[in-house]
Amino acid sequence: MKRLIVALALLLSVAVLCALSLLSLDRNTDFLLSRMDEMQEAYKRGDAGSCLALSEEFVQEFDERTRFFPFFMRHSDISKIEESVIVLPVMLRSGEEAHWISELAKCRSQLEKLADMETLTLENIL
Amino acid sequence: MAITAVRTVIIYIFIITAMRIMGKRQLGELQPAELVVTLLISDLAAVPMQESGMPLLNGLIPIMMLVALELLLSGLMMKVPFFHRLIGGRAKIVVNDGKLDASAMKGMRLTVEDLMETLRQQGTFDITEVQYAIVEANGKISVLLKPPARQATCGDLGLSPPDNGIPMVIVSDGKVSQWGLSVCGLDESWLAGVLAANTCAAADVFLLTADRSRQYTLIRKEECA
Repeated sequence: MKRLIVALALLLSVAVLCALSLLSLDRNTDFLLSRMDEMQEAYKRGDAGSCLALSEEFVQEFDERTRFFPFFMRHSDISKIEESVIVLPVMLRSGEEAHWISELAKCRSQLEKLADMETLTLENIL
Repeated sequence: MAITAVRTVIIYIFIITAMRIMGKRQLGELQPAELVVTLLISDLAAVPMQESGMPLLNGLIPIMMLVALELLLSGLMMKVPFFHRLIGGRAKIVVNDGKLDASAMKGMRLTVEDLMETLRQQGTFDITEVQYAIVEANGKISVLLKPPARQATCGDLGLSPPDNGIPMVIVSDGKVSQWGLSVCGLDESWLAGVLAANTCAAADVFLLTADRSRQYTLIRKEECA
């Protein structure tokens, strides 16, 4: 009976860990994607100042929001996106706006993939 | 490098805990399901230990799941005989009343050479002496010899030797085992008497064993040098 309780406790803790990781991933990637939308809108409006300010904020926000991702995701997957995020404000400062929008698109697609990677779908399971 | 070292310590503690939770069955003769779990755990633990870019949880969660499933399955196997047969398999008779069962052996892909080898390892060199040979679920072969080939027991000879219980270690390398004393129904005063009779202290004793009839064997440290 004792071992059965241990087994159920283990299963429960695995379920909690999985739920927490999914929740953290969903919430934080949703937030980061919404910030990217804001940057894209600012770019469409031609508001370079807002773009730069938002990009600079985004670097910090990305760092804060992905703090717990390495607990449950491969570090290399996160660092790939981080590399793209870091160059966003640098590109704007050096006037490479065309490159900036393509880097933003790349960043968005990587972040979306990251969010999709952990979702419980048949595709991911298989 | 330091990360790998710390991760190794964490995984080591985790696996030791997992093996303790799974119990002694996991350390003895393994049933098919237990063997699978043990192999998988050793493999799962190695990856996050070596690869610091992989989350530690990716290694720990599968181990937690395997331990939980193993515990649930063994519980189920204990309660439901059908599951025991399904997961653990069933013992099969390969020598039935002195006759080799070729079809049973073929079913298990067991050759006569394999059977003979196992019999020889158990001290039986002549297959005609075997009355029953049973392949257990864990792959071991149990053998019952024909009556004339069996070793005579005290019962066969009409003897009734005294039941002295199991000899237990009372002092090992100078350390007294209270558990050994309690199993033999002995106490500290008995030990003090034995040590006084042999004019030595517990610290001077390399090994002292005793049984329920208070028969003992004492080996001093100086005798082992």
